[in-house]
Amino acid sequence: MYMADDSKLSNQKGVPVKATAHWRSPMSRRETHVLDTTMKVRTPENISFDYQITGPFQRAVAYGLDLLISLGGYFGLVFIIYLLFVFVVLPLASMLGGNAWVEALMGVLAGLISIGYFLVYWFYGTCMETYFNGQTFGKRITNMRVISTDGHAIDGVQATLRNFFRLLDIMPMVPLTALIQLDQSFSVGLPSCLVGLVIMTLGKNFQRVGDLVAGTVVVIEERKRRPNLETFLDDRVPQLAELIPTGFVAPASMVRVIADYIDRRKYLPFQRASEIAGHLAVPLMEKLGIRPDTDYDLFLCAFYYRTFMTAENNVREGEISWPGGGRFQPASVIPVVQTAVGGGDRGNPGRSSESRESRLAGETLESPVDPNLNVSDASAANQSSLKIREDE
Amino acid sequence: MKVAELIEKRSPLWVELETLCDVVGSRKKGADLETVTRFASLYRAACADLALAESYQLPPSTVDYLHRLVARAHNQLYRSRRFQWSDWYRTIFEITPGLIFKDPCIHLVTVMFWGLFLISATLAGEHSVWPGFAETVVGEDELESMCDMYKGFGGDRGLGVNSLMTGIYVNHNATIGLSCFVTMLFVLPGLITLSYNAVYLGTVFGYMFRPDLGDASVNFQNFVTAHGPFELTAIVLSAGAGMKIGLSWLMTGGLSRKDSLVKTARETLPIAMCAVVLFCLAAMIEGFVSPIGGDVLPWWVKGAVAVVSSCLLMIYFVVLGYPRHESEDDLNEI
Repeated sequence: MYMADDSKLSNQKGVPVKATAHWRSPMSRRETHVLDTTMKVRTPENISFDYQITGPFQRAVAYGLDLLISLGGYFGLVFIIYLLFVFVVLPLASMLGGNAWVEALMGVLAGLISIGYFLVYWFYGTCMETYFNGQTFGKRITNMRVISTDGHAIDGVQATLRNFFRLLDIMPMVPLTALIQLDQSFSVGLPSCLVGLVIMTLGKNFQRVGDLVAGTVVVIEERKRRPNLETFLDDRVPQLAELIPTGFVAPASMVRVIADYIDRRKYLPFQRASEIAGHLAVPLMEKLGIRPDTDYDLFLCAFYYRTFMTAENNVREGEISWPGGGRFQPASVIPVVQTAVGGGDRGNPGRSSESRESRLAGETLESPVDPNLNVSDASAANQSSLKIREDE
Repeated sequence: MKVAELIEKRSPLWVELETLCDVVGSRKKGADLETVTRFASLYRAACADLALAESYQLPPSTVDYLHRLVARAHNQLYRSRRFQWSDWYRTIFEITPGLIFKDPCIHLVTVMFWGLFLISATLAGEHSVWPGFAETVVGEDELESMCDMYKGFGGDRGLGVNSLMTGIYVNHNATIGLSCFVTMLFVLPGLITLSYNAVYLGTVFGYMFRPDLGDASVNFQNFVTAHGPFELTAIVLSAGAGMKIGLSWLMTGGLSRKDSLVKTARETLPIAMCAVVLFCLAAMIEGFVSPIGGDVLPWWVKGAVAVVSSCLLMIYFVVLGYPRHESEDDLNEI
């Protein structure tokens, strides 16, 4: 049972809800991700994917670890060498050449330690990032990696620049004497990192000054658990799924919303889940002719079940064969979904996307069993999105 | 095909790619050819899955997973380009001197630094033009302590102390040089620091060269002559390189600010590294040659060191850096 005029749907409280279906360019998906800290990269394989950008505070942890490892490691080494000197080399030297030798050796050692400190302080990050593919020990522990802004691995020059310019990022230095009572001559500064913090918050990709100069970003490279599809123990879910008209193809954005909801519903109390589900379930059930007293949560579960478990998508067996099977579709012919504007026209080359837009805007919701909108033309439906918002 | 079936079918491939990421990424045992080939084809398959995620109607959590997986694999496939050792000769002996020779920023900084240095040295050395100039700039107490320091200076310090001081000079001076290079990114504060240092150094030089200071003046001349050319040139070079970067985001030459910054910084790094090398050379001379007293090593020897180092610098900047015939270079490149 469908309403004649669906531009004014109403939810259970009687507040009118306006439903519009409209085309959005695939690129505008970016708009829906404004809060996400991701960076889109296009690779030579002609595929674009998102990197997750690292924020300032995670990076501070990595930097702290790096300082601990580099300087701690260095001074640990120095201490061992010093012990070696005191107990082995110096007694030998004093036996052979007397005090003058001991003095000379100690001086040489101290000089080398000073040079070593310089090298470790300025070049630890450079060497690590160049030779370990954009990772230092601290970044490896915290699952981060430095990459170029174009998505490629960094090279030695970039690694050097970004580590040199760290000096600016840790400014201004806070004199230690300002924090604790110390002799004025003991002029050690603690890095406040304010310049870096401010610059990072101004840009989109959390680049500090060194990153801006070198053209790099720091991304998270975490291992994500492969998510499984939800399974439902409730027998009513498949039964209810049967009731959803087979001709109805949900727009991609609606599928996304429902999948997100299903992923999270287990963390919500039952009433809250039902309340959230209601926003979408009420108009949708009305549209599809499901009894309005159906449980909202159950309905969305059924919708999810139908979309992912029972409905056929437009991929046919054998369309693409896989590495195990030998033949593989070359990368150049794989369409890039995010950039293929109007890619939905594959099914009906004769029609312009605008005409489909108007068609979808008027008809998708009104008549889901519209013969023009067959299931196999799912890519067209994917491109559209259902936007439901409350009118004032 | 149903989405659930599709995911079930692809999952083993994704998991395999994940494990291969670790294998290819580990540096201990290089991955063999077969593994790499398999890795590459799995990577392309995952890319294809991601590209078609929308028409496959994969659930968002799976798409998310694919994004991370592809990103990880991408980073293992395309690895960091290291320094090309074979390019170093060209970079050190052809490109860098050429850059330094023709760079207007370095010319400007050179003129600024030496101009201020010489003016302040003259003002501090001459009593008549601006009496009390040195005392105003540096401060009376500091000048006095400097005089005291150099009065008691001289004689041989021995290998130990010399090595220690060399280490300290390398650390201290090269750090200052790099700081100078880096802080020039914000042009104005960098210029102020540079000018201040030029005036301060010039004043100290002018003051300490006054004939009426006696021993202190002689010892000072003995100390600074040998390593002066390398050290002062290194300061100018690092400041000039820094200023080039600083101006690159103000005057972009048609590029976006970010691009201009990145491009110029890449070009400028060799100059900064050249400055670091000069600082190290200066520190060596400062540690081992400069402190030898006048009675052991006559002053003219140090003068000769200064002349030789200046000549070396000239050869590097002018002889190596003088623009070659472009056509010849082009032919070589072809």
